[in-house]
Amino acid sequence: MRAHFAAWFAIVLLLAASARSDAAETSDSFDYLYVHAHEDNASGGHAAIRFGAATFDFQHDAGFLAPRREDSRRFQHSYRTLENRSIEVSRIAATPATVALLRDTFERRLLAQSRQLEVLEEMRGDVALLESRVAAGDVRVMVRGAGFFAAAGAQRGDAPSALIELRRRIALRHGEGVLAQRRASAERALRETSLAAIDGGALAVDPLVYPVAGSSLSRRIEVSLAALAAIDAIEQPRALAAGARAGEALDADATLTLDAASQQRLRDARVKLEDAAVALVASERADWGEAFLLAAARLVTIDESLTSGRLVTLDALPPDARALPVSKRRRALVPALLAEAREDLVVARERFLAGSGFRELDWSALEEAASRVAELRAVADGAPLLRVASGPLLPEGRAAVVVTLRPDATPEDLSRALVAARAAERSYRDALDARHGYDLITRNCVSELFRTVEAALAAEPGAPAAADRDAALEFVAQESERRLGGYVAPAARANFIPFVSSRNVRARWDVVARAHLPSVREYAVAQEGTLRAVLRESNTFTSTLATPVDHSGFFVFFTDQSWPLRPLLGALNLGAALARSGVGILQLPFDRGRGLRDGLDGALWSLPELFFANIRKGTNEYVPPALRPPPG
Amino acid sequence: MDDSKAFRNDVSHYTEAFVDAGGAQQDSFFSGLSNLARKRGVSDWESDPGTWEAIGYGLGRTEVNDAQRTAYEAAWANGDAERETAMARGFANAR
Repeated sequence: MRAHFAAWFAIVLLLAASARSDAAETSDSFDYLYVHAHEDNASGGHAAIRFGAATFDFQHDAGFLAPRREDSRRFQHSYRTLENRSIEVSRIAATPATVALLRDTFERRLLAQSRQLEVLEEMRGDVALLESRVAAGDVRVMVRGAGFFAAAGAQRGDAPSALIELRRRIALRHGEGVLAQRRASAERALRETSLAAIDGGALAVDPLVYPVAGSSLSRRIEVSLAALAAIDAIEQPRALAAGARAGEALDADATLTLDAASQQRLRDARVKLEDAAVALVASERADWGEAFLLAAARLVTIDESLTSGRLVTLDALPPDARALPVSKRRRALVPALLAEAREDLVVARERFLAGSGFRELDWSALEEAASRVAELRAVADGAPLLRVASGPLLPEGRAAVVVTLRPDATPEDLSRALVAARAAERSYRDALDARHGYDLITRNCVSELFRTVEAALAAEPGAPAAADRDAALEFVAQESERRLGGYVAPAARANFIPFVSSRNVRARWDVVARAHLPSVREYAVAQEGTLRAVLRESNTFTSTLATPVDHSGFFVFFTDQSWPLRPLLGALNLGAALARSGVGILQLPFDRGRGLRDGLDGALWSLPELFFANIRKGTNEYVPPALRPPPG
Repeated sequence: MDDSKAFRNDVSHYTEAFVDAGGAQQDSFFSGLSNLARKRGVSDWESDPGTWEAIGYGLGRTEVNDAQRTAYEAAWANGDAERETAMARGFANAR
């Protein structure tokens, strides 16, 4: 999907309110979803399986097909509202035990395969780290939490009293020498850490087997450095770093004002948070320093909130958040987005205030909502970029730290370690590619849904060994007949095409209900129910829903709801797009080819319309809440 | 279902997957747990007794016997009676 400005932000806004609540529920059915085609890398459509509040699908990402679990409302918002795509739902009846078996298998695949891809990233990190070391330059590692507090020499103001009090309480609870012990332990870990790479050959690549791996070299170094940063924060307390807080450069926001009751609630939360921070110093977790630094920084913001009488939170947006350029056209959408973000903030704030103690999930949600509001306020004040990231978010406070304590190693040791790390990374990448590499026909968003269902059934008692492929397949087919009413082979009978897979499901599985979930435009026209609405929403010039999108193909008529006229409208679209391309050629010296690209892109997606096929639906930058179709 | 329950479900699924894959080491288990928790917006998963109950529940969904269960509890709860109790409660709920 393109990184459309408000599309991204509207997704994350919705997520803030809903994605924190997906959990397994007992059910006697699940849904197969077919999402109609779209011009943004989904020309064949898309498919997913929904278990209540959670929807599972597979996304093509950097050559791999990766599983994803999405909040069901967010899933529909992305496709139906922002991409104008209708969804065909097939409800399949099954016993609660079968639904639970399938859901658990999708959860297992999500866990296992996601971790396998993360391990590959960590192996790449090890290669980069060793390359830096071999090059004999400074080795820098990004350390979570190390950026919350000002660097030595960059002190601004007095040391926060929260950190001074933490030190006193830590000594009281764990003894005066605890920080020295933990420092010695972290330094020893840095000096003695092995240069050996993760053994890729020993790691699982089976989609359902979690890869149990030790921490990577870079991760081991990172957590040791975080521990040292945590100890430094206590022994040499410093103020929060510039930029650590959400919206700290902005004027006071009335939404953030705290009344007396809210302040008392904050004081109560602070007590619990401080207790937890003190306990973390004696934690067995290797990464205790990261959690401690976050807790300490949060204590400082709570103290600042109580002193100022308005809510101060850490900035929850990560350092690698996408920064989207804010054009004049996009800036016009900011007031509406800000209004929604403020509503989310009110909800998050009320939820926190209604609780007791320090409930981290609620505080994280509050930090996230406050950060999004601050980001939009900054854009409203003229900032040229808007940072966006999908949640749930946790403030990271990452900062680059130079690794000064290193294991003793000769240049030959380092070279050998680098060669081994590269070989391990290459070997694991190849193994993952063989199991999870994307293929349009044999391994795509549809095939993996059915393979996951097959894997669930194949794990049932009495199943033959997987090595006996014919017997295993026969068993799966029989189980599928028994539990789902029929069998759909993952890649047979053109099943790799999403709309064909939907037809196969309806023909073979025990489908007890069918539903058509209209796209936002179809929904809006149906709601009005007039010819005027049909005509108004038929083209990009008069549509009240379509908002101009940067870098999108040029076209005039929407053809998804008008198949008899599709070739005619497609021809008009093609002509208009070619004309736009012509103008784009004239604009080449001024727009870097953007107009020409828009014209050619528009022409490309007009061609299927000449033959009654519709792929293009258009993408909405923003749709006001009142116009969004309700989730179905 | 609230977000706490969703997080605990994830912890249970993770524990089950980790043990089924032959994992046992505390370091490796905690590291994966931190990774998982971060994605849900949680950094201090230790301080919530619900986390330990969810670990016990996930353990209960595997095929470990009582001796193995005791070994896992000892390795992961590190002698903390409150955590062991929570794990045992979760284990019993799963069986």
